[in-house]
Amino acid sequence: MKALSRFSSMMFAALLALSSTGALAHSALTASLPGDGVVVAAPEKLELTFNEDVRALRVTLVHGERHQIDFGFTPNTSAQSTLSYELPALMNGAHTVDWTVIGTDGHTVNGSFGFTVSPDGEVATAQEHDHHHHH
Amino acid sequence: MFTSWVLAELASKWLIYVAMLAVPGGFLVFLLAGRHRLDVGTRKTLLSRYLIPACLLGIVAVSLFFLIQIGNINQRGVAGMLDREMGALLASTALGDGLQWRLNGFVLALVAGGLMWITLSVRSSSSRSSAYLRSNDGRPQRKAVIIATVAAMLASLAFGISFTVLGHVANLALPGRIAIVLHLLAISVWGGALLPLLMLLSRALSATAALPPGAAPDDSTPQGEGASLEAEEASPSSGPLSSPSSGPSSSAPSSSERAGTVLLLKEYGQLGWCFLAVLVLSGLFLIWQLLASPGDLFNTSYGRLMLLKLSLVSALMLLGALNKYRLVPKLENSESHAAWRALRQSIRVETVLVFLVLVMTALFTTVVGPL
Repeated sequence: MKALSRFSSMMFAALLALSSTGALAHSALTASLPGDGVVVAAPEKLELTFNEDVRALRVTLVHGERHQIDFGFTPNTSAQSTLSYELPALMNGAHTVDWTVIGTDGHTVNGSFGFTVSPDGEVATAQEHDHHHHH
Repeated sequence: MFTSWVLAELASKWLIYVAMLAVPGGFLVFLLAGRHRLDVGTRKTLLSRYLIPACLLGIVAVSLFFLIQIGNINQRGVAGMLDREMGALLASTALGDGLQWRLNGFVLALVAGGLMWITLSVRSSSSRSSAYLRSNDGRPQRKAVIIATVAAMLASLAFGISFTVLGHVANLALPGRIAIVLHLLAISVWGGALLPLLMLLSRALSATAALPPGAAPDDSTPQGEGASLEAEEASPSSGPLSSPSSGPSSSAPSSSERAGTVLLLKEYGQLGWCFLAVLVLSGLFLIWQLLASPGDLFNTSYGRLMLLKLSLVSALMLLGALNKYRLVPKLENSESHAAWRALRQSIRVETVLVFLVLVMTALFTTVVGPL
């Protein structure tokens, strides 16, 4: 039984090691407006584009550390590949978008990205992403 | 990556899988136990210590998993798990559909288990109503057995269907969905039978514990092959399955019960190869469907986990072959303590391997997925 316990522990460790080398999933954020890490001037909308139809469960926009911005988000009842929200006038500074969606396979995926608002920033355009989180 | 929410999700999902496996496998052993005339008490214990608790575990685990999903999305701690609006929203998605199938399956299986419990209780009861039911040519009992068996089969099917609406396979075409249903049924019947088999082996071992090595137990209550219904009624349930170290009230199984157990093991071994073939063929088909290329087996986390799973399954197959071709025949030739012990040890190892396979499956379906 000792050998069995040792074997089980080794297998479990191997499992955790293999599964933590990188999460892969179906639903993935492929592009956003504004893009990740960009400096923009007065974006008028927030747009998230996915590689497949998803339903948005939670999308939050935070200015700075904890100033949550209300842009009228409600979870959508039908699946679509692009989620688009009108934004109020944003203050200058760093903003963080946190999103959670559910794919057609029932898997929830979440992620976040950030952008900075500045009067000297460029006009916000859609930009591609290349990473995501799966849970 | 492994946040506390993710770990909670993995744990609850693993419990769901354990419970889903227990239902078809447990019912198979239960039906085989009836077929080979194992004691009524033994069969009732299979229900009360395995099947019915497994159904209850499944119901709790499905509910917990759902709440954890809500909590994970809200990220507001335990209080966030009780968000009704988010719960209603999730219930309307594929996640809700899949969990509903699983919940329905566990409820059906619980009904089947309860029905079988009542049927066995009627059989061993001395009340007037039971006597009436028994005297009516046994038809109500046979009907109950048929209904319970159908309910258990539908429950197993419901579990399989849940994987066609929820998970990576949900996006595959019909052949892939059929394959996952067959894959799940095969592993459930094969792997889910291991714990009840361990219970039966422990019980048989209790009869041989005090004997010198190599000696077969004496036939202290000689009976013909397969006790009749009347004999079962004359000697009501001999108490719960137990090891020699538990309670003074447990009694050792008779020689006919031990003989029945050996026949049951033999029949399980014969059936096992059919389930194994379905498991392997459906599994290989699913790998082919889910991976973009053979190279993904080595170049992706999903592929590497799949390889690890395949090696565990290979080990399971080797142990299955050992049991079928060496350990069970040894038992048939000489019911010595050593022979029972060897088989029990082998099945213990198989059980651990199955649990590890379920951990992998939980990982596959939670934190890792195919491209």
